[in-house]
Amino acid sequence: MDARAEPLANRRLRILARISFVWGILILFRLVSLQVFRHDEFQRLAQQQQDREVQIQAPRGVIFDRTGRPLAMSLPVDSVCINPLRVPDLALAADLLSRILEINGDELLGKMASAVDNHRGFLWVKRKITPEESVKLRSYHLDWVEFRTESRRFYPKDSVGANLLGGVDHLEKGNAGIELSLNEGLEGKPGVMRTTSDVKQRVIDLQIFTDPQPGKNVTLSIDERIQHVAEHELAIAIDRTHAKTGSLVVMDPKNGEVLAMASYPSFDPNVPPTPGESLVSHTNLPVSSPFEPGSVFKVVTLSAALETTHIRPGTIINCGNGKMTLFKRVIHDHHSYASLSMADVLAKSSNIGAINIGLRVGEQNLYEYVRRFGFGKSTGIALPGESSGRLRPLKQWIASSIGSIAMGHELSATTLQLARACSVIANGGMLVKPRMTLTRQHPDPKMEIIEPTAAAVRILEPETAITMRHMMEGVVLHGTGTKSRLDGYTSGGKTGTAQIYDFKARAYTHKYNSSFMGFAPLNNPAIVVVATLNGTALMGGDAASPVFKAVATAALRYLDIPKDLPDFVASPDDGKTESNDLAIADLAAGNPLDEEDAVMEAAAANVPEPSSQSPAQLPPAPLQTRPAISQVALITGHKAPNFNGKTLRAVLEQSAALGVQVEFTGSGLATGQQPPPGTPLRQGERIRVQFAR
Amino acid sequence: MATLATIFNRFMDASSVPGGFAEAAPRAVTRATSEDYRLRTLPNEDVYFFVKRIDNSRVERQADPTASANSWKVLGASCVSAALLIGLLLPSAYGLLASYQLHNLQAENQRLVTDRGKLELEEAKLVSPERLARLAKDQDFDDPKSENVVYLAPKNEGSLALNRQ
Repeated sequence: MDARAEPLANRRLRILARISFVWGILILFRLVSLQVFRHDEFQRLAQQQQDREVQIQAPRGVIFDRTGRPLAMSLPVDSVCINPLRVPDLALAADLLSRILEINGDELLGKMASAVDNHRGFLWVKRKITPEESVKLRSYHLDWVEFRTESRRFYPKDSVGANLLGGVDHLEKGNAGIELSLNEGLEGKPGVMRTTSDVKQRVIDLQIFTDPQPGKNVTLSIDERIQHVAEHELAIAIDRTHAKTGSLVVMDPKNGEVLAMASYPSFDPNVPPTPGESLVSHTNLPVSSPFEPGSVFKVVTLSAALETTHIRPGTIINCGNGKMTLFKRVIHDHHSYASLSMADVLAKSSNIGAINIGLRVGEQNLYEYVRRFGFGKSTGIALPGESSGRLRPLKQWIASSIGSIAMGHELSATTLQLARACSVIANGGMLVKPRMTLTRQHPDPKMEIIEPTAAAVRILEPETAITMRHMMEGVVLHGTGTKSRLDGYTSGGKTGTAQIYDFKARAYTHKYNSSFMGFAPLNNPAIVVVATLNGTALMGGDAASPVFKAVATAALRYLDIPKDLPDFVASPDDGKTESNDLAIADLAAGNPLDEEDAVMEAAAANVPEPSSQSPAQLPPAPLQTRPAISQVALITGHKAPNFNGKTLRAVLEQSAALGVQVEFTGSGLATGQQPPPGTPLRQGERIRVQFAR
Repeated sequence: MATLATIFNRFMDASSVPGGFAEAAPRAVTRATSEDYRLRTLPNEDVYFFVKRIDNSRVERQADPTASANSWKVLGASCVSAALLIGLLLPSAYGLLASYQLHNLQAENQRLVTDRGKLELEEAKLVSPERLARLAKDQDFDDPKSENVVYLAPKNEGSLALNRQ
């Protein structure tokens, strides 16, 4: 070996070793600098790059109907956002996105340019896109497009129950209907988690900071089948009667559960509202739109009379031959009746008869019973915007108010309030609280919270309610509501027609609020149906009664209620009965409910003494003779037996054996009956027997 | 000028000749005085390189009784080190893979939940009353008439199960 080579190699090695040592020292210092001195800074930078706080979606609760069918549900959908600063070509990007997402390209380009000018790195392009749009956009693999998951509310039944359910805003907060009133429970609380991703944005670690709390499911008392029938039949009736709006409520009278609540016009909650769209179609009319009920309110008047006076269904009421002067107001009936029994006052819907009954009840009693039936105060149902209607305090009544209120004027009520009042008759005298929610989901998903039913309050004696039921059956059988008669079921009801007041013309128009409220079956009512058509030229018996029939028939079938009548074929004369029940005929000095109180007070200043023909001064009525029935729609096969001279017990035994219904008046031995012995009995017809000692 | 080799030779001569430096110095002086006419010797001209060929073909390594053990020790140590290294890295790698799998499963779960919701929505749309009514109308179906609806009223004799709760 060359002797000079070794030192040279050693020297080079030493130099290399020194360089390596220095390099190592530098690396070490750099390492210490990075890992120790600037640890926090680089950890923060790394976390910004690798860690992301992601919101864990908490879906809004599902709304079910009473049979478990979903009426509203939420699903995650994609929303599209971009970083405009990373977009290579704004014009091209705007054009591409506008074609795929079907949005205005120029508008998008303007937003993108504005974002770039302001150095904003985030821009929503379109939120809650359809799955098809998402698939199409993802296929382009655009790295400057970001998809974010959001929740969207779907209403699979489209417009069924739309006014009732309401809707949600873009943040999925309820803004109307059930969605608003139950928003607190339905709304979920999103959770937060932190994810750590690798370079390919694959999550390698996650840490949940806050657990998501999904919204609680809710089961409504609504039956979607009945709801659909109600809305369908209401729409048909609106089209047939040329009414402007309509509302309908189907209720279980025993517990106040609302089985259907329909409004017309309606809307599709899946379609976003357009600017300038009428709010009427979004209004839940049965709870938020009060109106003068008209003759259906006679049920309240007569119920009060049964409890506070000696008037009974057979008591003859003076009907003044169709004309009556009350405190300088001339009131005409739509038909001239000299006198009618109380039952026929209801069946024929005599205004003068109802006014005379109201006068015998008295202002104090009538006001008390109107309040007892729940008018003038909200029902407390879990729906927003409920109107309490309007009922003036007694001290604000003018002299003629008792006449107006007795036939359903000078006050306003919602369709729901009418359904509640009808339920009182149907369930034997108990005022129930309407309820819409049956169950709510418990925090434990396997359990449910059953909404408690509010205790019913007795406001009528059971005998009064049953008597009213029978009188209301007369309305259906031979009164103004024959078009509501059901096939296979007994039923009772009351028609109502109230003229609509034109505040501009300061006069009543020839447009009506036509209503029908009824229940079925008669002896153990399962449903109460109240239908109202606003702005029609037809009376309640012609406009609203067919709606009741169609809805009640379907509802009874859906609810599996056994028929209580044999099937029959209607006679050709059916439907020819008088359906005119106009509650405000020729009320020249009428005071509409919404006129200024000053008008009412001015009228009150000129109140004369009550008419000498006040029915309060009428002698007790003998057993009245029933008006001839021109239509015999249904012959049961029975003939009226002869009860004359028999005791009450014997009459009961005989009527029970024959299966006929009997009404009693007086005590002792039977001295008369109506219809007379041997007369063929119509289906549901009762025999009135007078007892005397 | 003395080169490094000359100095080295001096040290070598001094160390190899008995007497050391004291005897070497007079010899050079003598030669210089007696043979002045002769050329000086070139440095290291008396150093010759020659190659001695060594035939190791018949040489055998002497058996090392500890070599095998050492090899096994090295091998074992290597394996243990590798195992330790793998053991140290394995949980981390396994955790990474598990994270990927967990994330995939979560995504799959979310997708299935979403798909299930979509199917429920689709089902709800398909059985909506409006659609069923439309289909019934298209097929000339109609609601049953009252006389066509029969409610079962079984006798209370236990011969027939009640069809309602």
